[in-house]
Amino acid sequence: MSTVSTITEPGQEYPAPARKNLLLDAWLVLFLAITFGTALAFVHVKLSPIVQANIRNETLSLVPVLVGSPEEFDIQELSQVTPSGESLSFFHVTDKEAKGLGWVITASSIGFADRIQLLVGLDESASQILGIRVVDQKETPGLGNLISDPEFRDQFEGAPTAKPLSIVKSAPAEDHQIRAVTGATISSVTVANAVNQAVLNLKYYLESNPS
Amino acid sequence: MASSSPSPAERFIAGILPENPIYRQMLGMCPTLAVTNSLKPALTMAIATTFVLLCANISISLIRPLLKPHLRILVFTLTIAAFVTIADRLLAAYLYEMSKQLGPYVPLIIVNCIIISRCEACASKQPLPHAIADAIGMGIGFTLALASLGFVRELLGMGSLFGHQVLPSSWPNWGILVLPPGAFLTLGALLGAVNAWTARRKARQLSN
Repeated sequence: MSTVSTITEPGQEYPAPARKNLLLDAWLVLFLAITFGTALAFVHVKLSPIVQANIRNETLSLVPVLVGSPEEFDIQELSQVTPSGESLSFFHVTDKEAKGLGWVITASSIGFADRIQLLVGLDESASQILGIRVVDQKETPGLGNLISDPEFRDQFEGAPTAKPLSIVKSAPAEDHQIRAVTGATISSVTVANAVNQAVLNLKYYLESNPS
Repeated sequence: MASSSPSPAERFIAGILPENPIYRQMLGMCPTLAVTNSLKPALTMAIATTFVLLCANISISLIRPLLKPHLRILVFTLTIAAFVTIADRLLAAYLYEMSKQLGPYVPLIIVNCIIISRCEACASKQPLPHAIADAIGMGIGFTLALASLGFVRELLGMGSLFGHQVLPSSWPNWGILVLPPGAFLTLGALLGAVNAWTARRKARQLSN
């Protein structure tokens, strides 16, 4: 740039390229795209098992907590395809004598901002909820993300599954009622619905696989 | 850029305070406001950004004779996106908890204007040593800025540093500093402090 004259328009700074083969013109972009693409594929192949293991370890570390933190336990992972065609994982927690302690199932549903992912712990006969944990959520900080707090999630502990859970905005009067997080009704309802779905999924699984 | 061509050392120093990306250029406000509610995510973010900035500056400086003016921004973005994806995967593999906490802000480094501006202003025109010094200087400047915000917000908002309680429990945690409005309040206060300090220093230099 010899003359730094007044630049009035974008594009005037550099002369317009002469008309020629556009592909040839963009060889560097294409070359870099292929090079970076290959490099990223390598990174993915190397790192993705570690990332997957991280996610699995997180789930597995929560599973025993959700059935009452037994001292000695075994975890069996089972899977089942629901009538709607979804593939689900179930974790069956047993003690050392293979006596069932409870079930942990994954559940998820679209919340206010993004998908909320949960783990739901249920007793052996799927008649009572033992606890829930939010594994992943991107709800509004200060409002929706309070669904992860003990104050909200502990309400699910011990809730019976005979009736579906429902969200109320005042002090709950019945066992199957859960008090919403103030200012985050959608997030609260999403969690309750996901838990209800998880209960149905487990009941369906137990019916179709009587042990 | 006042002088015709600053040396690598001058570029390194410039990034730290005289041309600090946050306190002077007001660039990259998105991560600055979003992830500085405590020190740990602030520092992780700063280090990830510095890594991308350094790699992008090196690559762009090396291929600068090949750059076509009308395709240069495309090449910058492509290069930056590749390194950001690597940084994102590395965090997910080795700092899983932190990667979950930073969430979408790591992929968003791609559109961090500090990096594009350094590629455009420095790396695409300067030889390798200049580009490296520039990236490290700017990276340190960005890290210091994010750390200062994270320090103030975590200390006053939660009474802790790096998750360890340091203020006595009688300290009434200023919860607002941890929430999004706190980011704006703290940034404003710190910007004012840095400006006041530089103005005082300039006045003293003039009077001497």
